[in-house]
Amino acid sequence: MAHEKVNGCVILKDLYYNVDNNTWVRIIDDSTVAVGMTDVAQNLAGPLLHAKTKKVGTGRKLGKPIATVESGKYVGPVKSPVTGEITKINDALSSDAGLINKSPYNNGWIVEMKTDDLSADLATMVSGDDAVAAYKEKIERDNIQACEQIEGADTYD
Amino acid sequence: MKVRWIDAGRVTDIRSQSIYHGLGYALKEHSPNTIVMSIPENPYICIGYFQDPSKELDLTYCNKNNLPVIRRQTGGGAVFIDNKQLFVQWVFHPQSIPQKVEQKFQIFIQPMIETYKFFGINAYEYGGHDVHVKGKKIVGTGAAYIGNAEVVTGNFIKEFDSKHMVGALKLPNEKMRSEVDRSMSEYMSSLSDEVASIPDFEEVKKVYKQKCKEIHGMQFIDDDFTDEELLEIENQEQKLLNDSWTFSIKQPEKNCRLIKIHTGVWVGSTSYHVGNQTVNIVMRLNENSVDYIDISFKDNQHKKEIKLLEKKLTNMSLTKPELSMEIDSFFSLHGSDWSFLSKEQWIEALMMIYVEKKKISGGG
Repeated sequence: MAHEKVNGCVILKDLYYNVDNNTWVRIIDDSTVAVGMTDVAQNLAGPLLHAKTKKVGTGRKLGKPIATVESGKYVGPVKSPVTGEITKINDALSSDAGLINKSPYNNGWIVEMKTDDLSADLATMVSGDDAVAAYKEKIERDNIQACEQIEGADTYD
Repeated sequence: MKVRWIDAGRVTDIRSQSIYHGLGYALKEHSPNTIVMSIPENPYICIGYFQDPSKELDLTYCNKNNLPVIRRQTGGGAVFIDNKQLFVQWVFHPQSIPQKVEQKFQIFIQPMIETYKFFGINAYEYGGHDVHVKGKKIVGTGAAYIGNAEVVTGNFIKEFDSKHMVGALKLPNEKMRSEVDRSMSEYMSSLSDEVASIPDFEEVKKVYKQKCKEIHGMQFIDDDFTDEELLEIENQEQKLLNDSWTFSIKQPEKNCRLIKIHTGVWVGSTSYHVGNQTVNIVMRLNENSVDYIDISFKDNQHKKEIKLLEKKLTNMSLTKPELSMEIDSFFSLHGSDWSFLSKEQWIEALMMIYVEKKKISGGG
């Protein structure tokens, strides 16, 4: 899978990113997407202890929370990068939120959503080299520390 | 950085929580960053966002002792709160606070550490988000993204009431309760434990404000809540008081009960079954080593061997190879006929608390 590391943080080039909210989107079909937290986001959070997703059938607007996570003693939202309805949730996260740390782009996916207007949502995101450039800028601007590889994490060489 | 300073004074139990929730939801682009100081008038139990009160708390005890249960939106565990605690609550714009969770806590606790030092207490940061003195926790913290704001909270504690704290916890047996009680005394501290002359909270506020100025360059504007904020605080009170909020998190049953005393120190209890026989274990872990262990079979059977085994296990590091070696050597010295657990079963039983701790602590 084509990827690049920015300050140690993995950016997969085939995904779409909402850089402000630190979430990614993988297109499943012409209206359905999988959504998750980026490698940058899971590094900023630290070891995740809990994750609770909204229920299947919940409608969400872009920027509204699709899940709540706790790391250390901090509780924060995962904001939706699209507008639509949650169609599937990653049940494995309820017993092992650390999957998001180990595998943010694969086993740690958070929800699947049926979007109202995927092309409009994708227009708000970046992909490929644009995503890499956007993250370079964000990491530098926000002085984000290097991502650390944790034990058992997916590897990208 | 300009910061609004609100000294809310003495407030009700619910208001001591609703203030930062309300300010978070009421935060607009033009709203100031705010630090609120308050002292709750009456005692209560406050649980973390992801905690299930029916699993964490002895609700009958809370009820009998007039301890309301309030679930907050910030993280962490159950805490007992009363009027001997001074709350510090930061409600800031996200761009005013670092994005990395660990750094959010670090900038929050620095002025608290320096305040303690001013009063002669050698406080330091521990575990990324707590403040310790001589190995004991003296400040607990919590944080969350609430509404539109980054919120971080902590408290200065004059005196910590561990009796109510331990009493309010739902624990599976009296051995664990007694160990949690002992551990809180050993690993928790307060102003009264550290200095002969306890400073007045008015003095603490003054020093804390000064330390925020010195460390973070904050320029304070003394002010009060706006009408809009008060309305949102009241709205949040309605939510926080509602059982549908308090009891909305359901956590699954677990085969271990664990209480975090502070970062690195945990007390756990578990039962391990072999056929129709059971071994009960209560253990205190300090990092990865056994600080204390109590093992019991039904009807106090084989007390002598068990006491010797407890002695052998105390202070050892919980790893499978070490356990294997120690149990082999114990069996060769004292025999294995008395035990209904094989070496492998002992290892599994003894590792249960450690494995669960590792799972729920994220290492802390």
